[in-house]
Amino acid sequence: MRVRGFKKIPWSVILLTSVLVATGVAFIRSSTMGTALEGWHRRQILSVVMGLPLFLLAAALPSRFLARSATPLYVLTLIALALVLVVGVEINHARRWFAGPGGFLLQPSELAKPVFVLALARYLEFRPEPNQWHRLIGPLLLMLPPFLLIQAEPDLGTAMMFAAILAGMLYTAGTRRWYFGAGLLGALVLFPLLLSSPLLKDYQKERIRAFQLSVPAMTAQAKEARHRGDTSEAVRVEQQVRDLKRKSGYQSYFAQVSIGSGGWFGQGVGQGPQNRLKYLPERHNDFVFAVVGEEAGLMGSSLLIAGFFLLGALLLRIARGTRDRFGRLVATGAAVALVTQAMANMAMTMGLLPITGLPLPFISQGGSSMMSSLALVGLAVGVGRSRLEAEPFLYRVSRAEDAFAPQVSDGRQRLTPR
Amino acid sequence: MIGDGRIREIRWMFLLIGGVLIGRLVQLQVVEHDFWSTEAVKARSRSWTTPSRRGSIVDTKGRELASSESVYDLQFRFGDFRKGTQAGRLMLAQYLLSGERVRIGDVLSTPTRVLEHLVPLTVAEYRSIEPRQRRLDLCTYVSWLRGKESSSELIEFLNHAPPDELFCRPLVEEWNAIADTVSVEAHFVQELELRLGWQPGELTQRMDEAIEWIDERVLIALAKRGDVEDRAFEIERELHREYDYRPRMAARNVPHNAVFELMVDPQRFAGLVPLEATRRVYPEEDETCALLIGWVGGPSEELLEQSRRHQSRLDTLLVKPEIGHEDAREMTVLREAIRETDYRAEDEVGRFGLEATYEDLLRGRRGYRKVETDRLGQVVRVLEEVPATPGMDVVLTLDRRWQQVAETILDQQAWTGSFVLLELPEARIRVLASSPRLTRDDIRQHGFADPRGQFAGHPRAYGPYFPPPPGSVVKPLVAAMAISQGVLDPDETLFCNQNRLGPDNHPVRCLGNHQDVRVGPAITKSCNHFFARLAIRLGYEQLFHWMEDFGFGRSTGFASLDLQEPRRLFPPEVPGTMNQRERGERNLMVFGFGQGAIDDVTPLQVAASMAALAQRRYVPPVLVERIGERKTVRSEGDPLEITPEVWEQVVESMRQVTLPPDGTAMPGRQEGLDLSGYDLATKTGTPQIQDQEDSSWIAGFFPSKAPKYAFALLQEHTGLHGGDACAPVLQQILQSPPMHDLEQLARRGDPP
Repeated sequence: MRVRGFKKIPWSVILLTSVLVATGVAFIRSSTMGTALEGWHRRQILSVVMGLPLFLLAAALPSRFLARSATPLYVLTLIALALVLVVGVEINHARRWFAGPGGFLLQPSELAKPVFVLALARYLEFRPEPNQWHRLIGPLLLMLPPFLLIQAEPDLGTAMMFAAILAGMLYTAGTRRWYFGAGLLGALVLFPLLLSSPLLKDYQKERIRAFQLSVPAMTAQAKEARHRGDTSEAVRVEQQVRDLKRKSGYQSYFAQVSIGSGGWFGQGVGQGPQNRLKYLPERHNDFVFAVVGEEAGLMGSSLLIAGFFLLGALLLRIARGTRDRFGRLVATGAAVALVTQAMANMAMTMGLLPITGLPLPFISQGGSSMMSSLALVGLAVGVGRSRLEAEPFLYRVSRAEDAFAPQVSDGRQRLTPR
Repeated sequence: MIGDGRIREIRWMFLLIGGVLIGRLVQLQVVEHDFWSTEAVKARSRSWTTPSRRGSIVDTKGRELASSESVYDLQFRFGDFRKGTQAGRLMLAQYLLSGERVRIGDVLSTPTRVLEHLVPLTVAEYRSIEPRQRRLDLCTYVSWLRGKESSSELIEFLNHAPPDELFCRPLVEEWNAIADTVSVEAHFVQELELRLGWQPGELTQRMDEAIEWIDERVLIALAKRGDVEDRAFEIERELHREYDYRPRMAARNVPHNAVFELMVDPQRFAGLVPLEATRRVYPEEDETCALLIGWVGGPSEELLEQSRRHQSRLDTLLVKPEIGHEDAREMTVLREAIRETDYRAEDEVGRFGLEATYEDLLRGRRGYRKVETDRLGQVVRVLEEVPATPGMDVVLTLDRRWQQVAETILDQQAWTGSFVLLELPEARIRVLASSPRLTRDDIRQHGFADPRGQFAGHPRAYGPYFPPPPGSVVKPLVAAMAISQGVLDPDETLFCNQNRLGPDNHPVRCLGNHQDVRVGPAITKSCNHFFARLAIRLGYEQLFHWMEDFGFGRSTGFASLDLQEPRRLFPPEVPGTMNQRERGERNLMVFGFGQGAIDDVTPLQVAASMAALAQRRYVPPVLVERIGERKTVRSEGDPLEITPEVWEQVVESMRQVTLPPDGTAMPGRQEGLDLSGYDLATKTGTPQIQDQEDSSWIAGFFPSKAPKYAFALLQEHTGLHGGDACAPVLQQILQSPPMHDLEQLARRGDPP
């Protein structure tokens, strides 16, 4: 049994995670070389070391224990999130961190992600399919406190991740597809309102506005206006471009400059001029993907994207491989949390999404993010590892919940009482 | 049970998003790669041009007549000052605290006054500062004052500290250290002011004025934004980030020693930025050849317009939808022109004299430097460098010391005039002096507005004024040609009856009643009737032809390096006039002794004609020895049909001019006049101009038998005989100490 359990450990996930972590360390070293932060790749290794116990705990603890611990953990997390608003350290106008010894900063919102996955999985585990509006209220209420507390820090990006995790897990749990379509449509309609809403800080609004502008397109527009002889239009657009580069769109612009100048094969690790000459802001954490783009080019960046996709696919395979509803939801939640955050970070770096301050899992420098990501992988590994062991238990539980077990018929999930 | 289908769909969604991301990567890294690469290079590279040193103008012995020296302009950048100096940080801290600007001089002299406001501030007082951004900025500046890069520590402290706690307790301990650093900065500013020769406080006052200028602009921009009360500070802050880095000129033409320290270590006093430039300087002790050398000034609107045209053309090409091969080539040429050769407002351009004539060769070509910098502006490496090409040096044939002497002596005379000295055989111009001796400022102020040339600012040796006819100085020339060509027998006598030649109403006069006179005495005594009768014999055509052979009526082209490519001098050389329309017997007669048909000649032409007689060959005079490596290209000259025997005869009679008993410049004609000790072959002239006093000439060459120098000296409207007005001046010039070698040569009659 033990041997079989050992065999059931999803080594591919662990291997891929290790590769991603190593890539992150390499690029953090590259992005901090010759700066005051030189040597921070060692801190990243330390973060991995600190995250390993969480990974091991998440992977080793029995599924049922985790399920039972979800609620207390959730409550503790909420307390931490509230506390950080009061006693947290303020950096760059945001209060997101607890100060630890030796300058170590702990970001509770990062650690809240695996906890939220557990709590939501626990909530959905014994409840009927959330395929009616009123059944969505519970999960939404579960998401709302961490969402609002994190947004109050403010940290819109991380807060949005909770919405993404919620959406992913609800979708997995069987919420009707058109609800998501309607939600998406609503978001699109509400988007302009968001720009004038007091929910967002000024700088967040500026970033969203800047994201809507494209430097190459505006440059071409100015050029075209000049060619046309419309000098005033050209001057206006050129001024906009200058403002964009200097002010609200500064980070996004330099990230795109770095990625774009990487070309097919990049400039070589540690050789990217934008990175080396410190033009790229936050290049060791939120914008580390721009360093990858500049130094590893299209090939390297595509591999990284493929790596995250593969990780997501592997975690989803774990989800599909277990019959435990809780386990399925946890593994799916972990996959959604990790892959969505990675893709959102990369999209943001490439100018496809507004800048929101999301780290790239495993790659960006940051202890909390690393611990959170390892914990998420650990949860999924745990689900994969306990597939066989859990079967009798799962069977027992599923019998108890037979009345609510969803049945698949003609392509739609239905709640079919027996 | 949760369906596998949903999980599979999520996987497909991941794949879709991944695909979109890779698509975007392809767009950025393949499709738009060139655009972003260009942006990357633009973002991290800085380029500037380096000034070229304007070529010097030197005399034949390498003594400078015009040169360029490196100077520096000192700019002030408030943004760098407030961030990079302790004084600036204190100033800003005070501003954030009280909303009032302290003057830089006050901060430098008494930094403790600001610290006295800052240190006792309590946490509660700090928290009452509004808006929040102002508080955060104050924390930043206080952290910088303490040498900390980040303000997070201070902000963290302020968030938790009790309200009655000091805002920044460490400031108490660091009080002395901060004050000491400001003292060092103050000392630096004082030293700089001393080196600049400024009053104490003058530099800080200019810096304060620059800040006031910025504040005014910010206020104007703020007012234009309208009602922004709630965000006023943030907008003001944003505007300051824009304006504070605009450099303002603190001082121009700063000597190198004043800014040396800043050049070596720009952080010595952040905000003061020295910029290299060059400035034209002329010998300080006098304004030797000011009219000839000319001066430089700012570029004309025309020249600037050319630069604008180039820029406009480049802009047009840049926005073309498709740039072809030819366009790309044109763009390269235009870029180079704009960068290196087109005039800019701050350039020095030759506006007058040789400075203008050789502008294209003197100015050189600007250099270009492109460097890679990091985000903080520190130069990491040089990407591209085109060194500036200095302008070519113009070496003149002039002797500056001789020129000085001649100008000084001419200037001391009661009349305007000129002295030209040519060295043979190439007719190198050693002296080209005009009086009155004018400074550049005189010309700049008065210009050449008077069409009659009453303003004496014209270079009389060659320039656009109304010169007199040559008068009797042409007599030896006419005689030599006439005898050589058999028109006149050397022993033939012609009759002089003083006043009775020509028409009754306007008879041709001679100053003496020479009766039957031969050509030799006629030259020595300057008999007009002899040459009037000879002129009748020769006729107009023959005389015109000979005068042209001697260089009258045409420009010498003396300022051109190569006569095949004549250069326009500013002001242009006048060709002189030979009036071929007004004919008649009397005009022909006076033409024989250098008046009438020959309206005007320049002293340079007269000197050149004497050089031609001395060598029996007309050689155009030359002023420019070489420019850079290019040497003067001149013809061998045009030989004159004068036989050696005739030449000796004419020269002998010219030698008698300065000797008793008959010479028109013989000793005793004027007090102290005695040129008899010199081996000179000369001729005097007293041209008459209607309604004006007679002018005076003396021209010739020496040593008489083996001529090395030819000269012409003019004194205008003296009312005196040529010998009486000019011979003493010539003597004075020859006997002045700097002309010692020349005088010895003239005295001994052989080369030194």
